[in-house]
Amino acid sequence: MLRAEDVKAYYETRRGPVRALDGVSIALHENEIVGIAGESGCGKSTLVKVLYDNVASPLRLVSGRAVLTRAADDTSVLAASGSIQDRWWRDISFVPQASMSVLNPVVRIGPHFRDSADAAFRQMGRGAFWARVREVLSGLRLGDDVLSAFPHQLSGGMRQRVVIALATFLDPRFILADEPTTALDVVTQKEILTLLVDVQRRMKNSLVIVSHDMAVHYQVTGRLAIMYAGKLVECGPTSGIFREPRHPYTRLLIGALPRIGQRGKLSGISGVPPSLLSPPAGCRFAGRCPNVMDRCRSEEPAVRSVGNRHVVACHLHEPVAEDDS
Amino acid sequence: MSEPLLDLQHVSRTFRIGGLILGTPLVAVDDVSLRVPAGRPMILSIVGESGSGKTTLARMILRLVAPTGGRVLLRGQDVTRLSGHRQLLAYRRTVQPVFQNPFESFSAHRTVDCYLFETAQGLRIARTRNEARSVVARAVASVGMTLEGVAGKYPHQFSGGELQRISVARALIPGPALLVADEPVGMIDASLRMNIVNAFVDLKQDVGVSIIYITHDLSTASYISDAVAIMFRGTIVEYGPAAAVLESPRHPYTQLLLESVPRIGAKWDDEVPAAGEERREYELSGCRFADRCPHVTPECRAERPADLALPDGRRVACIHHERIFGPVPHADELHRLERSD
Repeated sequence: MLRAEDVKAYYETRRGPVRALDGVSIALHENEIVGIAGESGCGKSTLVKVLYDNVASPLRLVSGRAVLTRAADDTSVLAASGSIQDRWWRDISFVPQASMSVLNPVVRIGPHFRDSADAAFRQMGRGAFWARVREVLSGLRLGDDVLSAFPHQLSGGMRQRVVIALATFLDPRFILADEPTTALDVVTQKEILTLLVDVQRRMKNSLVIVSHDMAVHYQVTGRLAIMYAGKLVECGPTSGIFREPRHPYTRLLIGALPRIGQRGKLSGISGVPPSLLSPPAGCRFAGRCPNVMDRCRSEEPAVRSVGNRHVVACHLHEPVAEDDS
Repeated sequence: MSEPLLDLQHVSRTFRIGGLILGTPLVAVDDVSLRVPAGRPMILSIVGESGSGKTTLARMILRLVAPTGGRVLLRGQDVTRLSGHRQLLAYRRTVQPVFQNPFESFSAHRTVDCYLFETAQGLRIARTRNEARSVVARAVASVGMTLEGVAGKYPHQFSGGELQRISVARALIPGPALLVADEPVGMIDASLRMNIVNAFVDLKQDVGVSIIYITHDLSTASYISDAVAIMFRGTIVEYGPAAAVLESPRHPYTQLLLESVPRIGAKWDDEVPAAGEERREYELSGCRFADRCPHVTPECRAERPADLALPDGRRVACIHHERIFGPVPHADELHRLERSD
């Protein structure tokens, strides 16, 4: 299991700390696809950085922790001690948004595999290692010839598949993908997302997909977390969230974009997110919320269960029986 | 006025890839004809994947790239043959760009209102600072902001959505007849996108500006457009009224594009579409979609399919569209369908 426990992570700037994550808890289980949704600046990429133990200046882990537990040997490691980093590639791996920026432009694709897993290479031996690489590539519809290609010789979609191959070939238990298809067109996006889901089904590991696109989450994820201004506002089974979104922000986000063939005017969500240098007291969505009440502006809503593994942080939802998942 | 506002006549652009001598030519835009009428403002969307040539087409309309074939006519005049300060000034007052990333359009070190005043005075819309002030204030008001709220502020003090609205306001200062907007909401968050596209619809209706909206986002294109052109590897494969093209496509590529859009409410099946290889598809001599088309026949590879004009005002570059999508609806039937909306 991979958990973030009440994580506060701030970016230090000259004007003061930007509170990108302000008390976020989330647990990722084995064999599931979890989506993290929200707009730019909501903290979703920062959450992935903390889970991946990739916290470097100016980002600072202020409080809370990330814990990686392996079911097999029941050991836990904590982020920020660098020990999740020891598990990179083998237990946990990362698919970034811009594939070009992780592939070294002057190095052919083959050595990228060798370099990212030197220990595994020595352990498995040359033959087994490259056999495994080829197996993973073919699962992603890539031929052996990509191993001798330079990154610029591949299309954007092929490069993204290479990055997915890199992230999956050592069979990690957790794969964190940050906007894996944002830079791609819709046809390539569908191909990449379908391949990622396919890989997850075969490996039965846990896949985290960060995306601002709610329709992508609808298509791909089984569980969904929605973030707003550094807070988790809602989390639950994707089907339940789309059937009955509990938080007003989730509801507006789902309806924010037009659908093809839809008639009538849409208005989007008025207003802008608050500054994270000095976030307002109370609920951070209060300034834009159509259902705002007096207490929303002074009292911060707690994350409460609304049943069926579904939690929400909104004063509209009074607490029911505590069900800590 | 009989001359169309914008008339693209068989426009092509060839680039050389990999050096002038050893490189190979790549036809990025191949024989594109499109028209925006005068006197009747419209929003025309040019929709395509990355690498479809849509940005090159926009850059030719904006005179940033010269066509290697065909002509770009603005009110009957070839935009590559403008000469003298007066003609260029007239061109810039008529056609204005809106680019994708507003944080790149504005320098981080200058206040955004500098740009607004520069446009007003540089294009000689206003002679004095006071005149400029009222012109700028009007432009800013037409995107739902105020000059007081904008003046003296730097780009980082705005959200992406606000800044993009300011770049639309800047483009409106000379009172243009045509805006060319290349992925104007690509960098904007979902909750703020609608502000920009709604502003486009209002501008068309209230100010009478025509807009060329270049995007890969089919849903906003469907929301605001009067007409849609689907581009694929440099060619327009389907063109016509937005509702017709996006709700009952008659080209297999348009259909693939529509099926690939993630939608809420209808789950994808498990079939994985394979994206084609850009370079190879550009080099196909027949239909460039042939390698990926499930309905391909040898005739498709023999020669480039011609544009077929259909009674509902669309053009389709597919010789098999009736076999794939059934007979073309009769014109009377279309009128009935439109009324029932």
